[in-house]
Amino acid sequence: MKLQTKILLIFILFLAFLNKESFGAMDTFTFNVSSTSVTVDMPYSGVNIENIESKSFTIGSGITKHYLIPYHFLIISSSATNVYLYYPIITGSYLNTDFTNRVAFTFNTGNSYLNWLYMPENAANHYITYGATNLPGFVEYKYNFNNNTWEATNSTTYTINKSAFKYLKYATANVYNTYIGSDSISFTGKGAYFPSPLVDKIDLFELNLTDKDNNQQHKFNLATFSDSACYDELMGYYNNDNRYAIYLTDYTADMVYTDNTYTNLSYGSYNISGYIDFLTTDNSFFYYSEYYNKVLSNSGTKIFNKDISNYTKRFYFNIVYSEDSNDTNVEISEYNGNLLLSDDYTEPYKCYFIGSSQTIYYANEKSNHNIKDLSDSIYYLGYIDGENGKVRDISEVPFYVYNFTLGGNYFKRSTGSLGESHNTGGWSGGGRSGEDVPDNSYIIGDDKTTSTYPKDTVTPDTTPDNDSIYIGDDRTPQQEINEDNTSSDTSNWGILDFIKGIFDNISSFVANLLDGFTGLFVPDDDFFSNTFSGLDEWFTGRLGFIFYPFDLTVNIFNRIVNIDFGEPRFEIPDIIEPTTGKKLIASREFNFNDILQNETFANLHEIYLIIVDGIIVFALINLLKNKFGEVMSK
Amino acid sequence: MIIESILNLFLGFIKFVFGWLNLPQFPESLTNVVDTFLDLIFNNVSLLGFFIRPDTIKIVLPVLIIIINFEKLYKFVMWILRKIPILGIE
Repeated sequence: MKLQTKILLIFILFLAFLNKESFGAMDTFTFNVSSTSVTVDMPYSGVNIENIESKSFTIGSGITKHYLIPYHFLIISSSATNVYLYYPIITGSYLNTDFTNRVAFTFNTGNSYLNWLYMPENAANHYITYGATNLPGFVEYKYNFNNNTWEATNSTTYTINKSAFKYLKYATANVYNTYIGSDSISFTGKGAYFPSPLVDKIDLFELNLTDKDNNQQHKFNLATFSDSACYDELMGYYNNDNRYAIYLTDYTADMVYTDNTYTNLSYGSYNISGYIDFLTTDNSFFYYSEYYNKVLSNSGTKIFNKDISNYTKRFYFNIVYSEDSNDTNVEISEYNGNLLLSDDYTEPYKCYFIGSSQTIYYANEKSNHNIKDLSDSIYYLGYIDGENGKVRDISEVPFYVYNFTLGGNYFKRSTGSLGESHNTGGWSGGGRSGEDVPDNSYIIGDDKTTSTYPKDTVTPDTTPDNDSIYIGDDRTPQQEINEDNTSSDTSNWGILDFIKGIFDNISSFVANLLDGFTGLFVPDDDFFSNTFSGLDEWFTGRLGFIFYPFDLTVNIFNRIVNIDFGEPRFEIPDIIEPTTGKKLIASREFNFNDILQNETFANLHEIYLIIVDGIIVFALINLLKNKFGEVMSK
Repeated sequence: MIIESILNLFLGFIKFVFGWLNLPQFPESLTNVVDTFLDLIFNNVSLLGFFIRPDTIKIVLPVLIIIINFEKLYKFVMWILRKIPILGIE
C-alpha cells in the first residue's frame, strides 16, 4: 500500500473518530448552524416525536448580537400513553406552579417549537430556577402545551424527565461566530433534573472541588442531593463558554449532607476543578442568597452567617464579564452588559454600566432613572447588596434588576424589592427607546466615578420583540431623515429645485434607455443560476444514476466553497458501556483556540503559521518551476 | 433578451432530445454513504484551519490545481489558438 493511501486511511479513521455521532442514532439534539438558520435535529431513537425531528428558525436579520441561551428542551412523557413530547421551554422567570403567569415568552407560531429563540434577548434574561422553594421537585410541574402556551394540566400528569440546554452565540448579524455547547446532549439516565451540561461535565454527579487556592479538594456525590435547592444552585451559574461556573457557596471542606441537612457549612466559594479556573483570583468571591437562606433555614439548620465583614473584598453574584476585558479568559457573557457595582472592583472583571440618566419604559410606566444616583442603595443583578464589607439585608432595600445587551434595545427591570419579587415572578418586557448604548456606557472604575469608554460600537437592534413595549415613535432618527428626504411634496420648491428636477429627469431617462438596451443582450442576474439549477434538476430526473457523478462533483465543489474555518474544534461523544448504559467517559469538546488564550502559545502558533506559509509558498514555487520545465521540454 | 432566447432554444432542444430518457436514480442508501463520508471530511475540516492559515489555503489551492493541470490547460489554449487562422500557429 502506498504511503499516501496509508495516510489517507489514517486521516479518514481519525475523522471518523471525531465525528463518531454521524454513524449512529443516538439520543441527541444536533444543532446545525449556518449563517442564516439554526436547525435542531431532535433525537428520534425509540420515541414518538410528533414529526418534529427537525425544526429550524431563521436568525433575525439586522440583529447585531444574539445571545441564544439557554435552550431547554423538556421531554415530557405521559405515563399513560408513553408518548414523549419534546418542548423547548425557558424557565426561570416564573415560579408559579402552574405557569399561568408566564408572560415573557409566547410560542406564537403553531408547532414552531423553537420560535422563542427568535427573541434571544429575552432568553438571555432567563435562567433556570426549577427546583425552587415552592416547587419541591421538578417532577411536580404539571402543565401542557396547548394553543402555543403553557397551561396547567390538572388531569394528566406529565413528568419532565429530561432536560437540557445549549448555547449559541452570535457576534454579528447573520454571521455565525461561535457555536457553544456543541457537545451532544445525551440521555443516559440520572440526568433527569440536571441540565445536560452539568450532567455531561460532572460525570455521574460527582463533584471534585477545589478551593480558590486550589489547595483543597472535596468530593461529594450530587446524586444524594434530594433538596432541589441544590439543583437550582448548581444549575444557575454558568457562562457561555462551556466553562461552567458553579458556585458551591457555603460549602466547606467538611461539608456533610445527611438527612436532608447540610452541616459544617460556612461561607466560601468552591469552584469545580477545571471548569472555572478563570475565576481563580486573589479575591474572594462570595455571595449571599436570601433565597438559599430561606431554603436551608427551612430545613432547620442555621448555616448562613450574614456578617462577612472580615472579608475585605467585594463579592458578587452572577458571572459578569465583558467582551472588552483584557482577560483572555473573559468572554462575552450571556449577561453581557449586566451591571455590577462594587466598591472594590478589581481586575480582570469589567462591567458595563449604562451611565447617567436613562429613560426606561417599563410596562406602561415611563420614567427616568439616574442609575448613578441609585448606586448607593441599589445593586444590580442577583441577590447582592454590599456595603462596607457587609451584606445588607436585601429585603430592606429596593432591589432592581437591570439587564440589557450592549447596543440592544432591551432594558428590563424587575418589579420591585427583592423581598417581594425575588422569586422572579415579575420579569416583564420593556424596551428602551433605541438610543445607542455605548455612547453613554462606561466601564466602572474602582472609585465608581472614573470610567472608560468601551470599544463596543454595535448598532442597536430596533426590532421590538413580542413582549417589549415601545412607547412613542418607532422610527429611528435615521429612518426619519430618510423618509423626510423622500418626500414628494413640491409645494415649497424654488426655481433651482425645478431646474435640478429637470436634470434629474433627463439623467434618469438616459439611464433607463441604457438599461433597456443592455437588457436586450445581457440576461437577468438570476437567469443563469435559475437556468442551470433547473437544468440540473431536469437532468437528475431524466438521467438518474448516470448524472449522479456530475451531481456529486458539484456537491463537492459547493462544499469546498462553503468550508467554514470557524472554530477548530472537535467533539468526543459520550462513551457508554453498552450493557449497563453507564457513562464511562462524558462527552467533551476540545477547541484548539482555547490553547491560544495563552499568550505564549498564541505567539508560537503565529510563528508556526508563518513557517508553514513559507514552506507552502516555496513548495509551490518549486512545483511551478518543475512544471514549467516539464512543459517546455516537451 | 436575445441571449436568453438563444439559450432557451438550445435548452429546449436538449430536453427534446433527452426527454424520452427516464433512468432510475442512484440508490439512496449509496448516496447516503457518500454524503456521510463527505460530511465526515467537511464537518471536521475546520481543524485544518488551526494548522494552516485558511487564507493561504484559499489562495494556494486554486493555484495548485492550475499548476497540476497546467499541461492540459496549455494544450487546450493552444488548441483554441490553432483554430484561429490569422495567428498562423502550427
